[in-house]
Amino acid sequence: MIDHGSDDLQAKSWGSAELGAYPLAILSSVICLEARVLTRAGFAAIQTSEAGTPPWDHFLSIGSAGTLAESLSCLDSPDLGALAGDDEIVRGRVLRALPRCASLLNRHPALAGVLAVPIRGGAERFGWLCVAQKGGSSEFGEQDERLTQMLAARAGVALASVPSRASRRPNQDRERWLKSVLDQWREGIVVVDENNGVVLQNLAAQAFSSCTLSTKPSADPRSCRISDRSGTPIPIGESPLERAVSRHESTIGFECFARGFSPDAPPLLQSAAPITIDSQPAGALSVLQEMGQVEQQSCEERVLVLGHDLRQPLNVITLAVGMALRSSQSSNSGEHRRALDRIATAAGRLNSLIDRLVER
Amino acid sequence: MGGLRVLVAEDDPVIRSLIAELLVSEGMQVVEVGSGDEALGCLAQGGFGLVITDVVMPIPYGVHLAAMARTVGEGVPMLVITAHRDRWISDAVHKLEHTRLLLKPFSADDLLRSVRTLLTASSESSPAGAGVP
Repeated sequence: MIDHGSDDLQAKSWGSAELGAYPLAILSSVICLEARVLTRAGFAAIQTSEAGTPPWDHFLSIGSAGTLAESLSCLDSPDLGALAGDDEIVRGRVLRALPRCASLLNRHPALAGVLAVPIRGGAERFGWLCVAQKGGSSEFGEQDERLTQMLAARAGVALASVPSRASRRPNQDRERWLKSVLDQWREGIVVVDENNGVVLQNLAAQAFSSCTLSTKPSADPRSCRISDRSGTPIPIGESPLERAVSRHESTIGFECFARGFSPDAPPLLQSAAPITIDSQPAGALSVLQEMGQVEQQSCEERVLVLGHDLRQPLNVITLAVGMALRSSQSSNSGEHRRALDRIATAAGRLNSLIDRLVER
Repeated sequence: MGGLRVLVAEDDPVIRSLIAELLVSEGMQVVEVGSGDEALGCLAQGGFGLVITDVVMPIPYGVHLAAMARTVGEGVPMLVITAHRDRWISDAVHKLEHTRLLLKPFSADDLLRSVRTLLTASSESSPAGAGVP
C-alpha cells in the first residue's frame, strides 16, 4: 500500500455550469488517484476552470503535502505556468532557480518539490495537473513527467469533448459523456453514492467484477470482496471503497487479490477516495488496476514514445521517395526508379516492424 | 484541387516542407506554420480550403489542434496527421465533422488520396461547397 490517509481530500468551488460539479469531481479524482499510483507521489491535485483560462478556480487534491494544497489554491498568482515563465512544465528545481520565486517558496516551501503539467484539450488549456512528495526521492524524474503528461492529456481530451462545448446538448448527456470517457480507460472505475449505491462502473470494472473479483457474473461491485496479500479476506466495511464512503478516507495502491485467491489471480492495486461536492459528502470512487499493468505502464510508455520517434524520420523517407518516384515517371530512368521502389519497400517493412514492436 | 489554399501545421520542418512541396506540385497554394498558436492565428484570418495538421506540436505543448480549429475555422476540411497510435486521438478526430486521420508514415500518394477523399466527402455533405473555394 502506498498510502492510506484520512480527511485528506479537498475540493472547493466545483459548481461548474459548463460540465457540472459531479462529473468534473469524478474525472479529477480518478486522474489524481492514478497520478499518485503511477508516480508514487504523496500528493496530487488538479486546478482547472471551465473557461480554459486562469484563474483556476476549481481545485481538487488527494493526499497530504503539508500546506501545499492550501498554497496551490491560494497562490497570489494562481497560474502555475506564470511561475515558471515560458517553461510549460513546472518543475520544483526550476522554481528554486528563479529569483522571483524565492519569496513564494519561503512562504510555501512544499512548492519546491512540485511537478505540474498543463492540461490541454485542443488549443485550450484547462488548467494543471500537479504532483508532489515523490516517494523515495526529492525530485520527480523524466518518466514521472511523461506519465503525468499522459494523464493530463487524458484529462484534456476528456474536457475538450464535453458535450455542451461542442453541441450544447442537454445536461443529461454529461453523465453519458463521463461514462464514455471512463469506458475507454483500462482501469476499473466504480463510483458509488453516499449510501454506497453504485452510480457508475466502467467497462473495465464490469470485466473485473464478472471475471476477476467475483464468482458471480455481473455482480454488484459492492459485493466484490478482496483479500490482502496473504489471502485473508478483507472484512466487510474495511475495503478501500467502503472506507472512502463511510469514513471519508482515501487509499492509494492497496495491494490485494480477488476473492477466492488462487495462484492464477493477478495481484491488484485498489485506490479509493471520497467525493466531496461543495464540502458535502457525495459518495466515493474506486480505481482498480492490475499491478503488473502499472509496472508495465512505464515500459509501454517508453516503447510508445520510441515508436513515435521512429515514425517521424520514416515519414520523411516515405514522402521523399514517393515524390522522387513521381518525378522519375517522367524522367524515364528505370534504374533510379528500381532503387526508389526498393527504398519504398524497405520503408514499408520498417514501419511494419515498428508496429509489431509497439503492439507487443 | 488546383488553386486550393492549404494551411500546413507541422512542427517537423522536413516533413512540413515535403508536404508543402507535394501540394504545390498539385497546384495548391500552401501556408506553412510550425506551431498550434501560429495555425490558430492563420485560421482566424480565414480563406483556407483545407488544413493539414499534426496532432502534437511543441508550442503550446500537446496541442490537439483539430478540436479548437474546428470552432475557429468552422467547416474547413481538416486532415490530421500523427505518428501516435493512441485510441483517444482517433476517437477525438472521428468525432469532428469534415475531419480525417492519416497515420504516419504515409507516402505522397497516401496523402493526396486522403486529401481528395476528404475534399470530396466535405463537398458532398455541404451543398454549397462550404470550405472548398
